[in-house]
Amino acid sequence: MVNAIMTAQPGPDSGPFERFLLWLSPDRDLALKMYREIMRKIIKYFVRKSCDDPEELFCETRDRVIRIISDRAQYDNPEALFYSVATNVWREERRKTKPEPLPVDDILPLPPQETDEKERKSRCLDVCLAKLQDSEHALITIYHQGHGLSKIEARRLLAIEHGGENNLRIKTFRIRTRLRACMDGCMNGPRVN
Amino acid sequence: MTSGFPTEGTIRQYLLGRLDDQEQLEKNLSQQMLLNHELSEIVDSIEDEIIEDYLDGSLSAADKKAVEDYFLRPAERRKKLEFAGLLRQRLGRRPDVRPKPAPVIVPEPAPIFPGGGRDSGLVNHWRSHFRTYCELAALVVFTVSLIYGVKVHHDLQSQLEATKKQLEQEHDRAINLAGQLQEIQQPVARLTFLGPILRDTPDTHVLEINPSTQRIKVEIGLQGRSEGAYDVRLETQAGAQIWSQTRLKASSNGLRFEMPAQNITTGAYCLAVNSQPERYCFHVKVTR
Repeated sequence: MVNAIMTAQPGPDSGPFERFLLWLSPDRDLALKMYREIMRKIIKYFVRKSCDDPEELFCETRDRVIRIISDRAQYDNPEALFYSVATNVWREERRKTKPEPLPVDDILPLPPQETDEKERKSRCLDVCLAKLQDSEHALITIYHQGHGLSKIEARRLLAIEHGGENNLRIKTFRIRTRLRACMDGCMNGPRVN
Repeated sequence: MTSGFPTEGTIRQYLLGRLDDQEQLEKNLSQQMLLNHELSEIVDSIEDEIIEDYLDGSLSAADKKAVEDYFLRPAERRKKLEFAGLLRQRLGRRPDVRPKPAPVIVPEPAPIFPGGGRDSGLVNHWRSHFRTYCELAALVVFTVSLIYGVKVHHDLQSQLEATKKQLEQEHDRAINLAGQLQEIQQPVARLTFLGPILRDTPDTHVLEINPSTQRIKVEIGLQGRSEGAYDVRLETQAGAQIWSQTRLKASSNGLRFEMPAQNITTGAYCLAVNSQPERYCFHVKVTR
């Protein structure tokens, strides 16, 4: 059913997915925008619940919501409905599988020997770091340098400069998010030599 | 943390899966994180911090196990971990240097013409002594910079001396002014009645007092009258007594006493001395 919903082309006699989009909004473009936002949030929810395959669980959630809507039930808040269904999906998933510890090799970063993939990532990171503004570059550098007490002290001083620990945390998080997005673009684009 | 948001500790416990068995709490937190963008961002940043702490090796044994058994299960988090490791390797390797700009390419000297001649000889000379001339040029630049630096230093020193002198003068002036101010604002005012009183009118004496005035020193010439003890009263022009003192000793110069300034406001007052027909009147002006 997942594939049928995802691959079906919308036609004048709307199928379940089209009815679902209509339920989100009569404006189709807006409905797609809302759908993407809900997808992002629900996948994030499953990531936070440390599920093995958040995307798959989102698909399960979406399909259930579509069935509920198709049964002509009245729900005014799409996010609330998605969330309610997602929590059920998560509980079932939790009951179904008992998490096994992953092998350590699968968790730790790549060992320091040079690999082609790692080199490419390093180059992409260089490119993305160069795109940061000077102030952002300085902030992220100081934030991630050092060890132990010197690192704690550096961050304490940064926190004073940037309006508190929480503000500093959010600022550096946003910089890292942009760097990750930039790296994804770089890794998926043409090779950088 | 914004009030109404869970604490950092609670969020960490949530992310490490320790609240999964507390259904109502877990449900409330999940819903809050889903619907509130600001909280969602905070949670994401704490996820990054957990990863940082894991790489630092600063997690407790229990937390480390929770990270490995639970937290790092989603592929997205493992990607985050890999990125964090790469970032700290990159930033730790060259701590304070941005990616180097493209190197400046020094142009090669002009090629030797195959025909030889004077031009080729000159070019050869430049080529063979190029390094020497560069060193000489560097020396000249250094010497000029040094001389300029010494001159600037000397000028700055002179400026500093002049500023110091000015500062000392200002300091002395400030001390003088402070002294003058203290004199003006002395807590004692003086009221003197010497010589005969020609007219009993308040306009004859004007006494100015200010909020810091505490006492009024009064001197009344008794014009040849004998020494003795006198009673003195301070009255308003309407005759209401506001202060008095008895058995004041007079000297050959007259009667000298002090009265408090606290209850005296702007207006006309008179001092009455017993056994004296005249009254010693004055006008008070209280300045702020």
